[in-house]
Amino acid sequence: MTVFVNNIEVTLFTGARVIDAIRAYYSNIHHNLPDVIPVALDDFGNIVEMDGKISHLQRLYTIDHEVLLETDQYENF
Amino acid sequence: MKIFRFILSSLLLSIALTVSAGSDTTKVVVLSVNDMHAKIDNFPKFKSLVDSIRSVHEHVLLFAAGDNFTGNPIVDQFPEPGYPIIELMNLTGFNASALGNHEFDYGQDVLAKRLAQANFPFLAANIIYESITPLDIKPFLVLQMENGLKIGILGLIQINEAGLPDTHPAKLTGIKFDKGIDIAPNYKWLADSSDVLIGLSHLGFEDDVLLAEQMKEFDLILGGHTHTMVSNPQEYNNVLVMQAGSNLKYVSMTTLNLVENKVVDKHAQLLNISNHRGSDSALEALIAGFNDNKELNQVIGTAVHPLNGKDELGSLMTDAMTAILPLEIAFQNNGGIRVDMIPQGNITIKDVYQLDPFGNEIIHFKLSVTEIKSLISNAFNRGKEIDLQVSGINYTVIQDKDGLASDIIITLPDGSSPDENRIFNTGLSSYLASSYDFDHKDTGHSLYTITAQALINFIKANQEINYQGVKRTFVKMAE
Repeated sequence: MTVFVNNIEVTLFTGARVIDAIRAYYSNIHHNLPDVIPVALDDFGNIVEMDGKISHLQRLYTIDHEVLLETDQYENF
Repeated sequence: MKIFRFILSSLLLSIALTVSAGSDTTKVVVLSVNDMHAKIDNFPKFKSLVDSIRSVHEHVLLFAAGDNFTGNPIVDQFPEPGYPIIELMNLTGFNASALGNHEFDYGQDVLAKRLAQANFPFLAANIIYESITPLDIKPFLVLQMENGLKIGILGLIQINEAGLPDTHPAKLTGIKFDKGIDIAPNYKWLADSSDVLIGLSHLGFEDDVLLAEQMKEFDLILGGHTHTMVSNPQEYNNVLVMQAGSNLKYVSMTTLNLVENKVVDKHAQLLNISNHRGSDSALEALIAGFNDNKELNQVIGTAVHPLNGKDELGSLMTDAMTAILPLEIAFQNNGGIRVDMIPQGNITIKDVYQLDPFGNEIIHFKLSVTEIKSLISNAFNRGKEIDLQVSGINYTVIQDKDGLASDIIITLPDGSSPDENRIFNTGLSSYLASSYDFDHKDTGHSLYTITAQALINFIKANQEINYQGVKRTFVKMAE
């Protein structure tokens, strides 16, 4: 299936999870996976946990924890 | 500042909990968790939180939106797999649960027993039974509250591109599934028989939004599957859609205000269970008993000789994968082999989880010989050394003067060369499948079996494990 991470197209196996999409994204842009894996957000601005399931054509966006914590909406997370 | 905001929000919450709406208004509080994945350790705090909400509200409902099972060896390897979570859900007083794809992971016989032990119904409207006795799963439920209010709840389960929930297909024999989003409109009539209609969905957040947009009859959709934390609740087509992350870290709390049995106002928030100070001592004691799981010390086989190093351990791990049909070849990266050795003697379930703790699933790819060579070559070039252990073939990396792979020679176990035109059913861990770069036309699909469970099954089936001197990967300098 195809998903988009930070608007980069990533091809993944059926049954993939958010963490698989994030790994594939970093592989795709030829970067190592950061030691602290960034937070993933869905198209609606919700945090999606790393073991959450993803679906074909889903869009995910990554954001650093520090940046996320500056946002009131996510303060308790 | 953060402490001040926490105190303020706690104060506002307590005011909200204690101030009742006008006398002609009925308030219903709906609590929901999803994707608990057998994580039991937070249950004492969770139950205490639920009880505290029940103590100040007259009408409180509690739901789970599916995937209560799978994800904690304590529960998964319990003598009756999954039982601890059912007992804890019974004691906490759940009203209903959606059926999640992982509810099938232990097999239909086990599921049937867990369904019988649950004091609450499991719901899924998009199941079609073919050749088996139907499981005790209902499409919907109408709860009648003490004041006569009727709450309709429609259950829906996720299916993937193959038309099946995400579990091993062998666990689904005799059952077919419709798309939840297609079936839901058949139950629009439930809105006429209920004062409140709730979708209890294991479809995933994106599909829940689509469901809301096509069915305004829902007042609320409580979802699961995508482990989405809805921290800023929104209405779509006037339907509130909630989801509370996973692993029992959060609970969603939705307040519905009704006038003359019509919802006139609704709002929701996520509560962080860890922030709750109380804890249920009876559940603490019960969980301590569950966590003292003797099953993890169960001997499942014997190491005839010590299993030493990546070659022997990796060969064992990949053989466990190729024992699963239809896999012929399997790979395991060295980084995923987490112990240096398994000593001679008894092998326990705990040993397996120490060797392979990550919970990676096995992904099936149909790969050509050229594609397999690209996987081996790219993996080797990451560190200019062997990185992949293997089952089903042996391979030699021909290393050039820069240390990179210039060629890969593959041989079958009998020493012959594989037909270059053959396609091999190849298994990779989900980690390898998503993070290693290799050519592959087939995008692959999960077999929904974790590598550790494959290894437990393999050792149980073979009993005597002997990999002394086994080596399947070699490096040779180019001439």
